[in-house]
Amino acid sequence: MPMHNVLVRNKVFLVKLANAAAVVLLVCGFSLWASQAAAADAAVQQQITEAERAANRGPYATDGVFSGSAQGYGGPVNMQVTIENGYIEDVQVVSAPNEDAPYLSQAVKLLDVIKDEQTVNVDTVSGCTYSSVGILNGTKEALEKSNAGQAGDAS
Amino acid sequence: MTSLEMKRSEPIETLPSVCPAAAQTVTSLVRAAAESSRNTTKAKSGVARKPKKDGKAAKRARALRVHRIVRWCIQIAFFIAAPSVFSAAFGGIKYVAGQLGLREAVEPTSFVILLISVLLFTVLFGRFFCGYACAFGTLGDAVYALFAPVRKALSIPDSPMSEKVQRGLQFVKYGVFAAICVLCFTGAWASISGYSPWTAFAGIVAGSVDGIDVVAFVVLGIVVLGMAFVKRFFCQFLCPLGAVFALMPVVPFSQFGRRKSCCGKRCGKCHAGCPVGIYPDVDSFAIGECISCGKCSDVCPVGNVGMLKAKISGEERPGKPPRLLLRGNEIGYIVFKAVVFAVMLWLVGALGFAPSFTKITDVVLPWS
Repeated sequence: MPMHNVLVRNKVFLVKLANAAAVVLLVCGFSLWASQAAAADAAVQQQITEAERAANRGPYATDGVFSGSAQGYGGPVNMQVTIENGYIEDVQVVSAPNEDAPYLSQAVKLLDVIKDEQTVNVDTVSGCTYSSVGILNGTKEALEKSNAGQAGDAS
Repeated sequence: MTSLEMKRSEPIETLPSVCPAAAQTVTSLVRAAAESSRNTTKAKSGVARKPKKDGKAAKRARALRVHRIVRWCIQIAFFIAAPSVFSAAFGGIKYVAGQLGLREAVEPTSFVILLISVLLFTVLFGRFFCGYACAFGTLGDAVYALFAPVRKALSIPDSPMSEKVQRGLQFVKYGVFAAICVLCFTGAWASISGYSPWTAFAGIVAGSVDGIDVVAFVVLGIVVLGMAFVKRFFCQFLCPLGAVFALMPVVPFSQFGRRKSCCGKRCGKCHAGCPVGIYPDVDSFAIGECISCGKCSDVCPVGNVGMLKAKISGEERPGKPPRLLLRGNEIGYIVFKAVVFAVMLWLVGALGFAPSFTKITDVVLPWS
């Protein structure tokens, strides 16, 4: 069917289109650059931290594997923390039977944050606050066991 | 071809007088335009034709009423099903600005995906979201409708400000948008976001107002007061997301246009009926304000306002309104757009099942 105004011969439209395209391109380009820069930074940071950890003992008293549990969204979130040389070497969700998978999968991002920061005093993941709180408090309980010296609690 | 058609400003004096005459007699459908203008002389002499004219007027009024009811139904449905889409979509913009400020990569979070899909929908179908699906816009319409008796008692006109003032105030929202972007970029937004009227609104809708700063409610109160006296007060003057939408390139065939040369002298009914006080001119910058409500097409007495015109050039039908293939205010088309938008929201997880809905409110309400 012949239609009159399907053809785009509209100055305002073209100007806005160019404008929007420019913004999208800038954001995408910046994002690409930023993610590469971040990867490079992380590699350098990694070397620094490793050197530091080899030299000094970390803040947690007892080495070993500790477990902790706390209330998440729908029930308990069970955590397991491995302490080596006083540092949080590894932290895992052992089981979280009543958490909704999509939320938990967002909240597990916290595990890396905890390892990086070596503390549970970190921000929750927005959008899955309850699961985040479960993970953080469960980890906190495990860390307190380490400080209380209950060595090899779960090992 | 549109712009060419529109820009070819045929001088009004040379127009055949058929247009103003038609403006008085012809009702909504252009299809009847030619016939009716032929009948004009008959109508003037014969009293017998009067009942038919009334019949058409009644039919027209009924169509308008149906359109209004359908619009309210769609607005209320979206208000209940997806009350936080506007703040979540704007959350995407705030996130992007924040990431840029932190020199960090922008990841496709649920907010960003929602933002992109709403913007793409707007490019394809115009600002249908603003006119029919935005909860804050619906709030504005509801408040305005509820305050009708008050306005009548105070004898405040429908458009209480001059066109220039209104157009000037519409630029304030670009300032609001820019300010929020800068604050997010510098990371200062977090400290004042608690005073946003949207936070108070989200709290009221979610039924938990604990922990919201009282300032947010005061700001919301001021905004609601504005809504009571000016149509779409927040949307056209303050909404930062509206600023983004106004700058989006909407494909011309999804925007209301008119053939200026066919407008009656000093008619301006489309302008008077428009909640954001613009004329339906596709090639004007102000068309960005259009919220696709369809009022202009509803009220045009000669059926000159629509989205898709048939290819019958001005030479063939001199001075007559174009034959419209799509007026843009057909109930079926409006419902179609609403369904497309709803399906899109559902696909990106902003609608429907409780988890995805909570997911969005959870982030909007930081204390939950």
